[in-house]
Amino acid sequence: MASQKRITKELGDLMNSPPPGIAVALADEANLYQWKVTMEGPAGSPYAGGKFDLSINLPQNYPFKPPTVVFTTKIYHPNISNDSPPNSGTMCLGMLKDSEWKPSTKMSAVLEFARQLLKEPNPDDAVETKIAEQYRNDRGAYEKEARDWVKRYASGKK
Amino acid sequence: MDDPAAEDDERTIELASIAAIYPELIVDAQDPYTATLELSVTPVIPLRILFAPATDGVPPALPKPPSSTEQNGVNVNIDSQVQVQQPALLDAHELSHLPPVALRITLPEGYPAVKPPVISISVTPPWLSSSVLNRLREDCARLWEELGHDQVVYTYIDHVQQEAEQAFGLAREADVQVPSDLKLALLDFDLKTKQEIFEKETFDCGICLEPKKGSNCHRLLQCGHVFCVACLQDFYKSCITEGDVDNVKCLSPTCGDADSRRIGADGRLLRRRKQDRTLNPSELLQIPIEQELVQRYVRLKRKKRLEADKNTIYCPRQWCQGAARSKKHPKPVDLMGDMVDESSESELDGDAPQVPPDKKTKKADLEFLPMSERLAVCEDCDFAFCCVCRKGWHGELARCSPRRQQELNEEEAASLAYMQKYSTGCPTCNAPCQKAMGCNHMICFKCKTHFCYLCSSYLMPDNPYRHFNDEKSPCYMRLWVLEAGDGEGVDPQGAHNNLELPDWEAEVDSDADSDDDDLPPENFNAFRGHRPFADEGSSDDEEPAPGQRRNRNMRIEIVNFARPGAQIPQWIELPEQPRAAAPAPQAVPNPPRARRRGGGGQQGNRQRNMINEPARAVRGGHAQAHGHDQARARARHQAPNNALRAGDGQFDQRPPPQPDGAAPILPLAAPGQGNHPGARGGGQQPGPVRAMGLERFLQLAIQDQEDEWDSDELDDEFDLVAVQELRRRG
Repeated sequence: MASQKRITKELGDLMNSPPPGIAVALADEANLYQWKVTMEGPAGSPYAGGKFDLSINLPQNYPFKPPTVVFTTKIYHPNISNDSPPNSGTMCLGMLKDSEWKPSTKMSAVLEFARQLLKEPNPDDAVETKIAEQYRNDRGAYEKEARDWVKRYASGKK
Repeated sequence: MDDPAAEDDERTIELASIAAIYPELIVDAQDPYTATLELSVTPVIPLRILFAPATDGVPPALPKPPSSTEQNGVNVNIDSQVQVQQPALLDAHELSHLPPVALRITLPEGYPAVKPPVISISVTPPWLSSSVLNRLREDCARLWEELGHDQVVYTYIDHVQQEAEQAFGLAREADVQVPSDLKLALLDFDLKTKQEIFEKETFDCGICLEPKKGSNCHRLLQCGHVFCVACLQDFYKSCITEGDVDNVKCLSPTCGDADSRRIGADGRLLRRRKQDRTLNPSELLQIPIEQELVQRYVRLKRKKRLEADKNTIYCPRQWCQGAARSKKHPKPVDLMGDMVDESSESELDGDAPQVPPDKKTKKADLEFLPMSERLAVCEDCDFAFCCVCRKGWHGELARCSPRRQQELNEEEAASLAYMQKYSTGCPTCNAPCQKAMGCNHMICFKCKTHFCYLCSSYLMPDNPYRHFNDEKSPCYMRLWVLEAGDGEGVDPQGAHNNLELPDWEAEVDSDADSDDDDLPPENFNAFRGHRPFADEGSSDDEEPAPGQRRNRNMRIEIVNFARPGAQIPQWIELPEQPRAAAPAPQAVPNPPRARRRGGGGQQGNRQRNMINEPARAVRGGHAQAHGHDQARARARHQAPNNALRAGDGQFDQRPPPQPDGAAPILPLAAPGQGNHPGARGGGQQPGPVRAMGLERFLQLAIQDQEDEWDSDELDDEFDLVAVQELRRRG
């Protein structure tokens, strides 16, 4: 299958030279299509020091269809849903929408984009509108809350 | 090389060393001192060439083979821009690869010391002018001189190469003009060379992330991004199969963005570019994608475009529903036709700003569309139809039917309403006719059809009156209904009075006046909508004809009820009697002649209104009360007549009258109508009515006419029960 070749290649690249703050592994050695990613909160953001687990699901017809990226660690962020499962942790990434996905986008780009989003939330395209409001109007409170969540959910885990 | 001396010749040695540098150099087999070499012409800056139109006036536009159009997308664009700037000169193309220059170098006896090499230089096809060629030729002698009569071949070849890179200085001149008959050859050469170079290159496909030979890759025409053919096929095939035709575009993540940013200055341009980044079908074929899929792609794209266009008109035929032919979205004849469609589409997109207002006003616009523009022809089934009324095309001179409300002005609407109300259509030609007077046997003024004015039925010309004499006919005994004619000014009641119900008239009128004067609308409503028997589906009134007319007539009647100038007072002067005083003859058996109980229906209802007047007696109702006794007497005498008449006038599918248990008590008000609140409240002479009802019933019973008696004469509650009972039975 064409997708396996590409995924293998991408995975190999990511494991050999991981982007800063991102570690990629297979959730299950036998399944190329389920990735487990650990992302460090970028320095200079309220998420610094936290370790966030992401679960990435690559469709069978990857790269023609976009992957799904889900934060399995709870995070206080305007663009990441903290809904109850199954919607928890879903990310609002424009590039991951079916209509905007481009097959030549690589997973490393997706992951870097996701990490960039931790650094610079995009309140205009928010999933959590309340957090977006707060981010816009009361940055201090937002940062405090985000740090609290990091402590609660994303710190001592590993 | 036969000549042994030649081997040692300086000239031979020189050519041999040149051949080492330029492996393409071919030494003439006949003449060891002659060599030919083809030098490719690849200017650093692509050379812009204008193809002069042929002098004989033949249009210069040579048909380009598909490959040229495809590969040359960029150049063609530039071409069109140039055309705009210099419309007279037309065809300009920028070429990066031009046919090679062929050098033939002969080293004569005495070279290099005495004689310069003899150069012959040519290009095939002859795209370089002879002056350029001459100059190049003379350059050799000049260089030989400059070198002090030394070996000049390498220097000269190098010089020509440099000249070629500079396009022989042609770019400095205003325009390079080349006869247009060379265009095809030059373009082809350019393309072929590019393709060869491309195929030799290696690309990293952005999808499978593997290096691929150019021969396995495809460079997208619009943006120049390169992907491997296998990946493009996979992706586009799945897009087309899934119907996601909008994604059939470059797969590079940044592709569209960069482009829109580039044109960003002009918002319109930007949007257009962004919208139309999907691949041209011809390019898909070239990748290659199977023809069936490309056809599907074209079909889907067109469908989307049609659906996006709110002005698209679809065929009204249920089984077809194709789009109507339109200039904007012509139906493709074949795939090649589509390509034209594609290109014109982007032009039309540029006009997009015009479209939104169209969309908003579309519905209304359609109504005001001139007749000449209403013809639409389905592109699939060729059905010609009117896009306003959606019927088969009726020609420009005929109006759409049914007429749209918006098209009617007030006057037209009024006359239409009048016609509906006061005319009957001929069953054959639908010509509306209005009866001025006379019986209901009509002969159409147009087609001579015999028909019934009341119900529009066909009548047998040999015996048209059978319709009115047949008991089963809805118009049984109704030949003279509306004798005075039909229309607003006509009093249909008069007809009834004269012919059918002569003895009703006074009563009817007086009733209406006496108690309905202040309540005509209620009466009206009551008659129209709340008649207790109306829902039995049986005949009504004098007019059992279809709904429209029935309602109409009822209205007329009602209007007549309220007619002024009737004798009022005499009916009201009945003595009061307590309601309770009226004994209810509950045990009366069901009358056997129930079937023919015509009066019980609408006429009954009508009379009920009169009866509501306490002074009034009864059902069949003509026993109106001038007084108790009078009423009784009248009822006695008239009831049979009325019963008969009413029965006759009524074809009767009606269920038998009220059950035994439903006591015949005279109604205080028409059931459920509430139009006589005073009477109902019992404040106004309720008693006599009851008493009279009872008396009348008894009289009827004696005369074996008790079916003339009606449950309407009952008390409200009883009446309801009775009606329900009736329904159950019916």
